[in-house]
This record gives sequence, C-alpha cells and structure tokens, in this order.
Amino acid sequence: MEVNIIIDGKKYVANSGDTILKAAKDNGIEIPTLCFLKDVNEPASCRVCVVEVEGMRNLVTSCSTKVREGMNIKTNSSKVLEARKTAIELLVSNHNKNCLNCSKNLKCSLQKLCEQYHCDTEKFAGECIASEVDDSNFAIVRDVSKCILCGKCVAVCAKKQGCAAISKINRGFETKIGTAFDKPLNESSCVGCGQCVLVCPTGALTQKNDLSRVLSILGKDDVIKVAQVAPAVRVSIAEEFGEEIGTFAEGRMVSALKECGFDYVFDVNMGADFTVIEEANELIEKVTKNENLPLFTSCCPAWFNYVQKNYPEFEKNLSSTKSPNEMLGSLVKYYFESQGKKVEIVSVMPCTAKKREILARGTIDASMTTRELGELIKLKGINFSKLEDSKFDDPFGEYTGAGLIFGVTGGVTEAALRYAVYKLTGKKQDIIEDVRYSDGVKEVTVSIGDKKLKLAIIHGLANAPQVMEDIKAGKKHYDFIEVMACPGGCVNGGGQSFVDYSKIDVEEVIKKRSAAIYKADGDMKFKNTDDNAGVKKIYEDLLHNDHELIHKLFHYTDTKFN
Amino acid sequence: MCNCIRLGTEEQVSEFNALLDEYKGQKDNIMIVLQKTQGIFGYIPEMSVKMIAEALKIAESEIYGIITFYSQFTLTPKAKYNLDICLGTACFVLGAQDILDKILAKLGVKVGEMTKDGKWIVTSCRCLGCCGLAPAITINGEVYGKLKVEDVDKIIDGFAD
Amino acid sequence: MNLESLESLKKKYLAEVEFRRKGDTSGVDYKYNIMVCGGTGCRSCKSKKVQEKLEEVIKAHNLEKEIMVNGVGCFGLCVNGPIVLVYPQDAMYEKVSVDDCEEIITNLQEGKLVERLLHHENGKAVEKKDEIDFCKKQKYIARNNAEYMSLENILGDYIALDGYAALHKVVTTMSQEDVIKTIKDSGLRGRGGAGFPTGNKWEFTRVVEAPQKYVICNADEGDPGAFMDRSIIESNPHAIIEAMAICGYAIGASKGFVYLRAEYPLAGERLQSAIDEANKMGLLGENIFGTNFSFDLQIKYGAGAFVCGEETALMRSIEGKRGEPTLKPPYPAEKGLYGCPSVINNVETLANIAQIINNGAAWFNSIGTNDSKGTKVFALTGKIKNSGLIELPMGTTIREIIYDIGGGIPNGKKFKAVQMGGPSGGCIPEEYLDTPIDYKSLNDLGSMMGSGGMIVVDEDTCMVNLAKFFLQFTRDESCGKCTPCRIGNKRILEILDKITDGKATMEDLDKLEDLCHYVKNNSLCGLGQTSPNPVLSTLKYFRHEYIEHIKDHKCRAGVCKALTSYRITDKCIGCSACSRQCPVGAITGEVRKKFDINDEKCIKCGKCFETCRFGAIVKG
Repeated sequence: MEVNIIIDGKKYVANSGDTILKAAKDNGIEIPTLCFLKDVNEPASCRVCVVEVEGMRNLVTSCSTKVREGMNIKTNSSKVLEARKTAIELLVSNHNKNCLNCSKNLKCSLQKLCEQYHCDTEKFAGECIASEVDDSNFAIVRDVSKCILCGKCVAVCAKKQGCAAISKINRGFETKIGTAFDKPLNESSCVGCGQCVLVCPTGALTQKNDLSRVLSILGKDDVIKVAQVAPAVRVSIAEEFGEEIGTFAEGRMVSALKECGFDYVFDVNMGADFTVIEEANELIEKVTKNENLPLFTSCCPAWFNYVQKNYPEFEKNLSSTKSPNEMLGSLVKYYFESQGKKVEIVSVMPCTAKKREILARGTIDASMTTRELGELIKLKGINFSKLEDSKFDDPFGEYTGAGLIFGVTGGVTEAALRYAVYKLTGKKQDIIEDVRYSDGVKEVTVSIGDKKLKLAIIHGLANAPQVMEDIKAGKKHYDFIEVMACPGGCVNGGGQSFVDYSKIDVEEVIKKRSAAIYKADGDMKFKNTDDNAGVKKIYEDLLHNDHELIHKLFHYTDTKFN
Repeated sequence: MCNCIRLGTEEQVSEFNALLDEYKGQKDNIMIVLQKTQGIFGYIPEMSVKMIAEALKIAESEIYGIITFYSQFTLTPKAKYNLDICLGTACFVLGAQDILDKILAKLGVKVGEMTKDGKWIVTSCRCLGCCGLAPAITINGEVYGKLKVEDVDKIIDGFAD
Repeated sequence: MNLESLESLKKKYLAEVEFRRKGDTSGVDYKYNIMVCGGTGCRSCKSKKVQEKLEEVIKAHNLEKEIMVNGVGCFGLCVNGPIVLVYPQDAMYEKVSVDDCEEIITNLQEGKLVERLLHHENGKAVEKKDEIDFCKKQKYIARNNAEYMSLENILGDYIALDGYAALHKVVTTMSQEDVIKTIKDSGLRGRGGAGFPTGNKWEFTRVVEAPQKYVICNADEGDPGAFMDRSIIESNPHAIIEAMAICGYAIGASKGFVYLRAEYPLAGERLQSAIDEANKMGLLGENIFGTNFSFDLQIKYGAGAFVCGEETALMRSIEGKRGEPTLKPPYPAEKGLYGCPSVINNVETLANIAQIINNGAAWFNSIGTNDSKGTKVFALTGKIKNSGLIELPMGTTIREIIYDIGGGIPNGKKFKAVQMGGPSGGCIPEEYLDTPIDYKSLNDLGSMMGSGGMIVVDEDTCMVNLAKFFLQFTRDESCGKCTPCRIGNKRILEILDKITDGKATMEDLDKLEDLCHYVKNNSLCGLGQTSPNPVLSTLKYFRHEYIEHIKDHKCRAGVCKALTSYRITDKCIGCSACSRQCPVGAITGEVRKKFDINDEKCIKCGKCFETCRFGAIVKG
C-alpha cells in the first residue's frame, strides 16, 4: 500500500511500512545516521537521524518511525539541525579527537558530520571514557576512546558472524564495547573476519595496517618483489578513488601495482584454478572412500579460525588443499627459488583474516587489504583513474572464470562443479545458478554421472552453527560444504573498501560487486579450470607431475595454524 | 574437572552443576542462573561464566555484558567481613594511615586482598561522610568511629567466631 | 476451589478479622490480639525479636488462651518502628523494644495500655490509632485492611476480607469486555509514573489477537525514597495475585510475571509463599473456579538496575538481556514480552483492581478529583516529623500532607520545597503548597506523581546540590544506550559540579538549561526524558540559588563545601569545645577569649558548627 507524505514541503509517495529514513533515501533526501544498519542494528540510539513530524511534540528518529498517510515531515528545519548538532557535539565530547593520527581521518562518519553541522567540538568538553588501544589481535585494532557506541559492530559480530566476540559492557556513561571480562581481543572468540571494521563509523575498529611493511619490501633492491591479487579486490579497488561500487578495474589495478614498484603482479585467480583441481580431486577421493565427510572448504581463513575455536572436532574435515593465496604463494616461491632467486611476496586481499593465514603459514611476506592498496596507490601519487590497463604477468597470470568466481559466495562450489562435471561426464556446464547467492544456507544435491552429491553453501558465519549441530546430531548429511565467513563472500570481505551504509544497504553492495565478477566470468572465453593452459603447463613443465612435490606445494601438511 | 576444583568447594560445584543441568539451553533464564551462581559462590567466578555460556548457549561476552549491567552482580569474591576505611582529609589528619597499617598487619593482607580464610577484605574510600567521627571505618556497613590504633585488635577480635 | 469453599473459608476466618476490625468478640475465644509489624522497616529495628519476646512472656504468664500474637503488614509509620497494634483497643504502640514486652503483657492482662508507648501528640497520648493525626486523613484502598491481616494466615484473612471474591465474580459472571469496561469506568490510572489509564491499556492488549499474552507486574520499585510497592507486597501479596489473574482473564493471558527488585528479599519470600498457597488452593493454575480460565504466575528478580522500572527495559530483563529500553512504538500491548502482547501494571495500580470489581466503578470514581480517581500512596520522607507511608484520596493538598499528616518540619526549621516523583520528578516550592495532588496539577508544576516519593527539604538543603544528587543517580543508572542520556546527563552533572564548586559562569547556566531541554526532548526512554526534571524544576523555582552560587560564590544552605566557610562571631565565649572537636586542628584560640578558624586548614566538615552551644559559629 502506498501513502502520500510531504517531506520538506514536497509531496512524495511512499510505501506504508517504510520508515521515514527509507522513504527519504528512496527520494534522494539525505538524513544522517550513525547507528542504523538495516535489519542488523536498529536501536534508534544515536539520535542523529531525528526529524520533525507535524503534530508530534518531540522530534522523532527517522530510522524507526514509519510513514503514515498525510505525514508532514521536515528533515532540515532549524529545530532538527540544532538537535542533530547537539547529538553530534555530545558524541564528540566523549571521543578521542586526535583525528590527524587516526587511520579513519577523512573517512570517519563522525568527523564528516562534525564538519557538516559546524560543530563546536569543545562545547561539552568533559570527562572521556578511559581506554587503551587493543592491538593484541592479528588483524583488528580496537580503540575504545573513539567508539560512539552505535552498536553496529556488536550486532554484526553476533547476528551476522555468530561470533559474539564483543558485547556492550558496563552501564551508563561507563558503557563501552568489550570482550568477555574485557580481555584483549586475541583471547576472545574473534576470528578476524573484519566485518566489524566495515561497519564502524569511526576509527574505533580498524584493521592492522601493514603498509610500512609493504613499503620496506618495495624498498629492497636484492629481491624480486611480487604482488598477487585476490579475485574480489578488482571489483572494489576503484571505490577507493571515488568510483562506482562494483567497478571492474583489473587492468588499472595491475598497472598501479607495477607503478608501485612490484616486479611481478600475479593473479590469485590462477591459484584458485589450482585449488579447484586439487580440491575437486580431494572431494572425489573422500567421497569414494567415504572418509571425513563432509569436506569443508578451508580457503576462508576466518572460517578456518572459527572451526578451530568452536568446532575443533571438525578440523579433520577441513580441506587440506591450500587456499588460492597460499597455493599461488607456494608456487611463486618455488618458481623463483628453484631458479636461485630471492623473492618476497605481498598479497592483496579483500580480507583481514588473511593477515593471520600468512603469518601462520609463513610463505607470503605481507598481506594487505584492498583499502591498504588504495592507501599505497595514493601514497605513491598514482592517478588511478587515468591509468591504462595492464595484464598480469606470466607465468601466473592466466586464469579462467572458475578462478575468478572464488570471490563470491558459491564460487568455489560452482568452480569445482564445472571442473568435476567435466572430468566425470565430459560435459561442460559453464553456469550453475543453483549454488549462487541466497539468504542463509543453500542446500543443493547434484548428480554427476551416477553419483549424487549433497552440498551446502554457507556465507555469514552465523549460518554455520545450525548446520554443524545438525551434522553432529546426525540429522543431516553432506558431502561438501563451502563456507565463506563474510556475507556474500569475499566481495564483501572485511578488507574491502568502506561503504557508507547510510546511503546503500550491504545487500546492494554485495549485489553490485558480485555482478561485476559474474559479468567478467561471462565475458571470459574459458570458464572451466580444465581449459587453463597455464595451469596445465605448470603441472607439466614446472612440477613435472611430481606427485610428492605437488602434494607438498598444494596441500597443508597439518591443519593447525599454529 | 580440574576447572571445577578452582571454582569452589565440592559442595558448591555440585550445586552449580545441578544448576547448569536444570537450566541447560534456557537462554532467557540467564538472570536467575547468574543470581543462583552468585548465591552459591558469593560471587560469579570467571570460570563459571564459561560453563554457563556453554550450558545455556549464550556467548561469554554477552553474559559479561549482563553481569556488568546489573549492579547486584559481582565478579570479585566477597569476604565475610568487609572493612572499609575512610582516608578522607579529616580521617587522614587524625591518623587513619596508622590505623590502616595496623589493620593490614593484623590481618596480613594488602588493601583489596582477601584474607586466606576468606573472612576479611579491607578497602579504603574517599570519605565516609562522618568526619565528626574521624578516624572511622565501617565493617559490613556499620560505622566504628573515633578510632585509636589500640582499638583495632579489640574490634577485629570481636568478629572471631 | 469453588464458591462454596471460598465462602466457607471466609466464614472460618471472619471472626478473627472482625475482632480486630470491630472489636466483635463473639467469634473468638481469646480476649486480646497483639499484632507486631513485620514489614522490612520494622524488621530492621528488630520487630521479630519483639514478637518472639511477647510470645515468650505470654507463655510465662500462661496467657496463651487470652492473648493472641501475630505478625502484621506494614502500618506505614515506619519512622517510629517497631510498631505494635493492640486489639480490641485498636491502639498503636511505637518504638517498642524487647524490654517493653513484660509491661505490655502485664498491663494487658488488666485491660490496660502502656501509655508511654502510645503515639503522643502535643504531649498527650493518643489511644486509638485511627485518631492519630498521621492516620486521620488517610483513606486505604491500595493498602486496604493491611492492619487487620495477620502474616501467619495471610490467605485466610485475605479471603475473610472478601479476597478472591472479585476473581470469582470476574471469571464466572463477567465477560472480558465487562471487566475492562469496569476498570475504564473507574477512572483508574497507572500509579507507577506517567498515569496512563489502566482500562485502556488492558483494552489495547485484549484486542490484539495472539496465541500468547502476558500480564506483568512491575515491582521494580527503584525511586530513592519510595517503598509503597514493597509494603503492599509484604503486607497483602494476594491482592496483587488476584489482580493479575483478573487482568489475565480480561486480556486473554494465561501467564504472568512479577518483576521484583532483588533488594526486596522479604517481599519475594512472602509473594512466593502466597503464589504457592494460591496454586495449592486452585486460585491460580488450571481451570480457576472450574472455568476454562487458567493462569500461571511466576516471580522474576531484577538485579539492581533502576532503568528496569521502564517497561521495555523490564521486559528485556525478563528475557535475560541487558535492561536496555527499546523504542516505543511498538507498545507492549502490541509487541511486549517475547514479542507477545503484554500488559505491564505497577503494584499499587493492581492493588486497586479487586476492590473496583467488588465495589463497582462508581464507588472508585467517586473518590478523588475529575482528572485523578481513587487514592495514592506516598512515601513521605526527608525533613518531616512523621515520615512513613500514607494513602490519601487524590486531590488532597500538599499542605495537608506536610502539615496535617506529616506534622510539619522538625527542629523549627523552615520548609523549602518538596521533591516529588523521584529522579524523574521535580521540586515544588512553598507558594504551591495548596496544589491538590493529581496528575495534571503536578505535571503543570514541572513535577510528577511518579511512584509517589515525597521528599521534604528545609532551609538547610541546597537546591543545586539536591539537583546534583538526582543527576548523580541518573548518571549511575542510565543504561547508556542513547546519546542524550548517556553523555548529556554526564555533561549536565559536570556543569552542576562546576556551579557547586563556584567555577561556573552565567553562560554555563544557559548551556545547562539548553542541555536539559535537549536531553528531555531527545532521549529514547522515559528515564532520559525525565532525568533533567530535577534540574529544570529547581531552575524554575530556585534559580536565584544557582545565580548565588555562580555570581556571589555563595551557598545559602551552607552545603556546597567549596562555597562554604565557617566563622566564629563575637558570641564566642572561648569554651574551646569546637577546637577540641575539630578533626584537623583548624580552630585555635585562648580559653575564655574568642577562637578563630583557619580557613585554609578547615575541611568544612561542620563539626564545630554542630558542637557550639552558643550559636557563635556561622556558616555562609
């Protein structure tokens, strides 16, 4: 049903049931909010999104108030602006204002609002919440003194990621976000997915910054400097330079990395093609032997951490096939070192948890997020939008659509199925819609020849426990389960570009970036790993089909990270 | 099981385990479980929170959030006798420090530490608001004023069971 | 349980109650009944020991057949506890100690009272309790009959006094609509805070269709200085149980919760045993009075969070979460506890229900004012002679309460204001003493009915400091969820600190006022929306005190230490008493000559001021 409303003197039609915030947004009217995150965190607590509604004594929060027929709303009256200003001034009075030293400087929502509303940041100066920076975690840095208690991180961590590593603790002015017993984050149930960092409006949650490490590698003359880039980075990196969400910028990204000083820029997509082959074989073997089923993917490091922390009994079910990143890293090392050359590898990942993976595995020298790559390009003074396209370097630059779609939920499964179906039946099936994005857990049964495989695809860790419990209780049986910790998969990874969720919903972001990946996949000549000539060449020419060597390079010998 | 030994006496632990059994999986009964846990141990031990989290299926951080929200819950053991000494200006000038030293020496603890028998905890405060009675202490809320160092033995011994 | 068994129970216990109420000796075989108050207030002054001692003395004198001893619910005059009531004389003893018991019994043997233990007014003992000024103007509905019910037979005496007759009437003869209409017509409004019409609340919940609904009793009485709910539950728990069952029937709920403060262990104990008893007697549980109506009742304990008195926070707390309020709408009537339609009523509100059913809406409606019907219980405390619980018809003036019932201000001090409504309320100054107590009049004055706390303050109270006290309370009790309440109240308090420290400017005063209005208009829940009231109302009526603090660096009440100094005047005879009392040795002088205070050493504890018998020390 539709209702007629007036916003700032103009008539609009809105859906009944929508909030004022939604109706305004749909009509291009901007209302600021700090705590609202659709369906995840709607506490109406920051009081920044207030608007005036005719007939109501007090201002109302637009995020929670539903539109009614004939509603007359003012989003920018003096009364509204004054109230918003006071809310922001109060928040900033209890905020660490060392902005110049903050990694969110110029990207901070609170800072932006302060500027927009001409706030006097000292008006309510008073006692601030005491805190120390917690950088105990491998990927996430917490600084409570910058927290404005919007609660989005807590909500995302519990509701979307099922980790509940952090919670609101204490009461009143002493309220803050903390772990159980206010211990360092590394002693909590945090898996480092970085979803909290994506939603934090200020610098209270940031990822560990490895830029200086990368710069020191780039400063070395005596090593070969390699950058390798994950599939999902190419659909987000352009956002760092103000471009549209989901812009496919592979070519410019490669150019930028070259200009940054990397000798070689390789594609993790190719690593993914290797993962497809190895993991498909592993699956076939395990299904044949009916051993340790279901086989869980292990390429998502946050998921790997999650299993170790919460379901150690399933560690043996995690695939021994290396993640595309580790796969390629091992190959690159082997390739150069077998030629007697020294190499240092920097991987560019849409992910914060990869920082732990590379530490634990010890092959790759640094891992930076999409955001850090953006910072590096800016630091180097490179004009990203003016760059010409370049191609990835040989011999690790050739990939198929199968490798590319690792960046989205369902991608690993689809890639493996494309390969396995072909291997077992000789038929090439390029698009397998069944396994692509859907809310919650997706279950699919596929028939390959005479085999029936029961698969599940999970994204968003909060969806995992039910499946795990069902398996434990014997209620469900699966052969293969793909898990990506972040909702939507790596396209929405904790290391991707920041998005202003007050302007666009996260589902929309996932959709746009995934669409860019699928479009590129669709445009590719080869969509099946089997068609990757480069991969074949490496198996034959570089590895000489030496099974022992292949196993050593492509599989984890133990499933423990530490 | 070794966890349980640290938790409390055998009796307390078995009572606690029975409590967990009773409320297993009942997330919304967390308040009553915490109240009863505190009833059993006199406080909410850190280890108990882990076990409650597992039994009731609530995240530890969430339980900690609840504990720190409600002022009734305490995470530190309470002694049988809680002695609070005023170190406000008036008390300090009249020799509160000497009295404090005497008390600590007698009980063999530091401020904020519990005696081995679990009977005493000595804390200090900014001002009890009874400067006229300086120097003053409270024991379980009852005020003892105009103290001299010599009085300390008598007062503390008076609580011997 | 059916009507006959209810009637027969009533018959069985009526005699004892009638003996107490009317002195009717026909049904009892003893001559006297002594009742010792068993409320928390009297218990804390060892009333239990008094009761035991009385029993012991009676036994020693072999008077068990003549004198009966019981516990009784709270009488209200807590300041004079332990209170002992004597029937059939209908007398009230106060401040009774164990040592008085022998005399009480030996006198009673001869039918005599112990005069010195009676309440005295103007030097004369008052023999009958109802003739005490404190009682004269009171009218009991919510606290009805508490003084006639023994704690040892709480259900029996309740039934004897028509208890559960209303529930029987409701479930056997009335439709849901009838019940709600009666409550609506009675004009009963919520006694816990905002004064929402109770019948409407029930109606809104009844009309929502849902498989599960809940009745919740808000017994999280958290206002400092208010204890009427505790008193009602301790004295008459069945009134609450019956009312909740009636509400359950009216709205179609089969389950109820009482959310009780954890600080009220005695109330919890009595309520739990009353619930158990009611279950045993079939007054709760399945098929009540043989009808299809079933109602189950459970106590849930709070854990020390004032904000849980706010209904949405209370529900979150029952659900086992941090007690953070959630936004309204949706109101509890649509989506309450566990997302189900729920009615939340305060204890005192519920205590009126059975009597409205029994006596009819018109009876209740005839009491009180146009806008506010019935009675209200107040906890009268502070600088007042008779402090305690009082119940009065709405419309009684504040002056009547303070002077006629409360006996005025002690020690010849001057009345300054009465603070009503706790941390959400405001101060009412002398010029409004003739205001009748009703929801609207109090709101118009910038105060509120709240839960009924009345704290009287005299000239020795600094109004800025009083406002600060409440803001400290709010800062500690704010849940911390929304910006205005979490940070705003903290900043308000900081400005108040600045004022009482003598460091504020007039700009700070403007900032204070603006911020108060901001917090009031923008907070998420009732706690934040009312928390600046103590500041706003003192700013309204005592602005001059704020200005004195700021401009003159003066606290007229001599409370704010930073602004207070003590001086010895020429009245000093040099007795040296003050000097000996001074804890920091700030007072020196020669005996028989005027002493002096060293202002730098002085810690402003006021001990010298209290000590001087010659009025030679002044503060200001």
